Amino acid sequence: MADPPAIKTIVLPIDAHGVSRATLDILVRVARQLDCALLGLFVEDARLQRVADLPFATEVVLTSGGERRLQPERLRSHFGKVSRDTRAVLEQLAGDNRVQLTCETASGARLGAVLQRAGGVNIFLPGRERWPARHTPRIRRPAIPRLGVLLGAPEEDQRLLSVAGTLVDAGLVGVVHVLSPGALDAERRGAIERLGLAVRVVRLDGLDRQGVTGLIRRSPYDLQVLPFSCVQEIPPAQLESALDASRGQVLVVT
Amino acid sequence: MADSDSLPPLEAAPAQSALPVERLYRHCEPGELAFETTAELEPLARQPGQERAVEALGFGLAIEHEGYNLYLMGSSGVGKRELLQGILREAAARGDGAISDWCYVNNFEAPDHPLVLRLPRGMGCELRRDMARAVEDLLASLPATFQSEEYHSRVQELGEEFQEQSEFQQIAERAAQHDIAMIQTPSGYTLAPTKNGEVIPPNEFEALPEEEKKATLALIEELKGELKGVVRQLPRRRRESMERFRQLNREFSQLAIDPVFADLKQKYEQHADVVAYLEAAHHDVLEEAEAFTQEREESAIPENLKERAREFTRYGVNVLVDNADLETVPIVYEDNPTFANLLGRSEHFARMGTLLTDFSLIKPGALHRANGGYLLLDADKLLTQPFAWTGLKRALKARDIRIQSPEQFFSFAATAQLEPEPVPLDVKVLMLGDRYLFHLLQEYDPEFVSLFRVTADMTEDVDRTPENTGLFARMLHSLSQEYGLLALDRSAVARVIEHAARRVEDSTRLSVHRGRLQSLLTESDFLARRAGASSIAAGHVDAAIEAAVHRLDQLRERSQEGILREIMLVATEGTAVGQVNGLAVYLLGDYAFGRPTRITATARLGAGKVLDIEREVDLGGKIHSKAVMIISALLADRYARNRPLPLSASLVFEQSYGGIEGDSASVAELVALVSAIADIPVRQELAVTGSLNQHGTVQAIGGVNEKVEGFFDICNARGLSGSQGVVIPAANAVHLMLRRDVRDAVAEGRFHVYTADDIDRALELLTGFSVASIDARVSARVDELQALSRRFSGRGESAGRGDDGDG
Repeated sequence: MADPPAIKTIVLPIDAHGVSRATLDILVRVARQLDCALLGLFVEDARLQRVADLPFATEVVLTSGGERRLQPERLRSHFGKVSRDTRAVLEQLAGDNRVQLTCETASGARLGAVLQRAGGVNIFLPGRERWPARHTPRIRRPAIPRLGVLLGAPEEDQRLLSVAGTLVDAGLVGVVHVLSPGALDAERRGAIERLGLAVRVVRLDGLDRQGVTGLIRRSPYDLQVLPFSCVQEIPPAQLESALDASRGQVLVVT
Repeated sequence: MADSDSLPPLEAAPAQSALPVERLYRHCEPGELAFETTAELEPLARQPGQERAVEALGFGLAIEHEGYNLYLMGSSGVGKRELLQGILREAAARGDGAISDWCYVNNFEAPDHPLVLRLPRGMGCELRRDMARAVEDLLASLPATFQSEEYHSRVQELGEEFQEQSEFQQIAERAAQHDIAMIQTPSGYTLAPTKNGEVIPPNEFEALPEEEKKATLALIEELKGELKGVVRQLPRRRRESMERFRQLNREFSQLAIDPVFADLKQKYEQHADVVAYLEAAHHDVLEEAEAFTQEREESAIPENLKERAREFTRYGVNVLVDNADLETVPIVYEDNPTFANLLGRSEHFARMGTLLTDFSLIKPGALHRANGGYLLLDADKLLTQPFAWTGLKRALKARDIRIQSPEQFFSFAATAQLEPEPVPLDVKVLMLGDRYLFHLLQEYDPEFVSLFRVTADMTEDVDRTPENTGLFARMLHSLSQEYGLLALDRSAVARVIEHAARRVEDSTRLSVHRGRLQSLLTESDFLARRAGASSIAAGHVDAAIEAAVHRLDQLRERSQEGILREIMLVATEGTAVGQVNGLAVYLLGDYAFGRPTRITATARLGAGKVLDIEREVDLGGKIHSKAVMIISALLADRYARNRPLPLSASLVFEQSYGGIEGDSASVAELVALVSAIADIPVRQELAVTGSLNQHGTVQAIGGVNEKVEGFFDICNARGLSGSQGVVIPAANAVHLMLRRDVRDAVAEGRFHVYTADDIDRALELLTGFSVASIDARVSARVDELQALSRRFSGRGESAGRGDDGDG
């Protein structure tokens, strides 16, 4: 059994794109296993509002390829609906799983707003892409079939591995891949072995900020656990862009 | 009533001799039998006397042309099935036809038309096991295939290749180079000018120089154009991506699936239709591979794999007929030949209020089980089952078996049903039935004639020769062995032989009706065992016969009681004019008894018609009516050949309130008529039976033993006078096998059995007067009636007009 991690809250930033119910379900189950509270942070994108204020602002619609006027009122209305719907789902899931939930609103860039709250909170960042039509076992599969854990500074690794261990013990995880920026020392190796079954160690020598961004963008994992130290230097816009392309979720552990 | 004083006198007839007692029963002396008990004898493989039927069966079973099915006819219980079983076993053992298993499998292209597979015997179940195992193997291997690192890597590669964001990212980067931000909106993307990384507010943008504003807007338009171009490519890219992922999934599916089916195809390569099915199944599994990846945590445990494999019914094999254990071609007897039991059926299950079916619910019929061999059916059961006969004929003519519901068969079905591929049919059908059904079918069903071209006719009896007597004894031994009965000593065998002659109503023949013999032996065995005997003796046989008669004898006793109590009037002494004791036999299934019945006649002036009262009130059958007409013709021929016969007469069976049929009372009727015409008394101490032709010849009748015994019983109950007896046709003398008490009475001279071969002798016996004096008296009476007729008709009027109105 892994040591319980010393973490208290997981922050989930929510903007006008919303978060799928499946992703919220995974988040709530992770929070329950990690004995964390949830904070839903509803971030109204001020930048987008500013764009909408421009008289010539239009948007290219993805579903049709057509173009239409970007209207501030519509953006606000849309954000309001997404917020209400997402909140309702979160409240229901949190209630069912007995996870403490609070909600706040903020204005600004999604990641910018949440990264400012670092220090004792963890961040759950949903990817925006969908998995392609791969064959995956659909009945009774683990909630997180493939978990990736990126090791960082030695003092962070214990918490990261503890998080992974807790999720594995709860039966939420299928396979664990431990991504190591360098060679593993004996202590880390021992901690990894204590995780139990289905662990693979992947060495990523020389992983830099760009590498982390690429790892998020091309993530083959349903959930990646990253140390906060790896993401704090990445510009929010770049991180946002990587998340836009990511199929999996990211849990940033502080 | 004629004035007998004016008629010529009657003269006594010469003395008539009765049959000696030796002629009344043909004994089988135990000394004729060269054994002590039947245990010494060899069993008999086949009933004696069935050579004709055996030859026909041999021919019918050997000939292989279409339409040579067989009808084996004989009365119920004669031993049709037993005769067949031995012959069929021999034929089946000789058979060189391959014994096949028959299976139904799913038709993946048209599930409502399941496909049939023919396999060597034993391979049906093997194929079923192999397919089940294949599904288990796929359930184990496919999930693992799609969880492999290699698969995930390939998914990742494809994902990156079709990464939608990369193209948008390129536009965004190019836009950023010109201080234009590409920002994701809830529905798509928008472009906006920036300064120092922040979107320029409207007022600041308005404050820009015109040229700069125009350039910025132009660039934004250009970038929007590119963006739109990328967006418009998305559907095609997505289709491409889906197709590539499908190909990837199929590639990995094949890695797991192909080896499984390759092994199966190799194993069954000698069977083209099985290989074709495996090809189709292979293709279907590839299409449905995702269904096999629905993994469960405990799916690695073999028992649970079997459980899961059962859910994949579409890959199952319905072994319709499993002949694995059969060593010869099948011989099937269907004792309940309903439409479904013969031709098979599709069962249904209910789901959500609807009845559903599939190939796995097809059940075989008797035709399937007998395919390649022989099918035995009882004709009466077959013909009384709705649609069964029609269905069988269709299958035989088409040489295939189609599993249909009766509604489908007659195109009444309003809903979609299963239409399995027909099973090719190669069977020989043997129908077992009686002669009546056979002739009905021959007469009214032309298809029967073309489908059942071989008739095997079992004989009911054989000549009572020493050789056949020996065979008969061996047959009794076979029956004893077959039914676990005690052996018979030779006195019992002799008694059974005599009884067999009695059963067939012919002292020169033996009944070989297997069913009746088996019943007699079984009941004799019961009595013998109850008496503690180690073998069956004649006494046990006698007791069994008497007990069987007694069980059914109540009606006869009541009938006799009615006569003895003179409720039913039958005289057994004295004489009477126009009244004769006729004899009737009553058939109650396998039991018959005889009973005397009073026949009376009246005669008067008339137009020459003999009125059959039974016929007038529809109580007389056609044969009886025919007999009365023959009597009329005989009478006219005998007494009025050259002149009109100016009389009317009537005949009736007194106190008879049921139907009368047959001609065995025509001698009695004629004697009654002659007596009535000429006032000639008839001896009431005699009864008579016999049929007449137009020339006065007395013809044989049936039930002679029962008739004699019936009159004897009444006379015996009243006290035999010594002059009582029965007159029977001479042709029936050979049929006599009378009861012991009758024989004893005859031997003691207290009862007599006479024979008559013509009406003259019958008249003399029954009246005691010479036929010459009888004829003279009748002729004189006719003369009187003619004179009366002329007197009543008047001079010049037609003598042929009488009170009956016809000539």
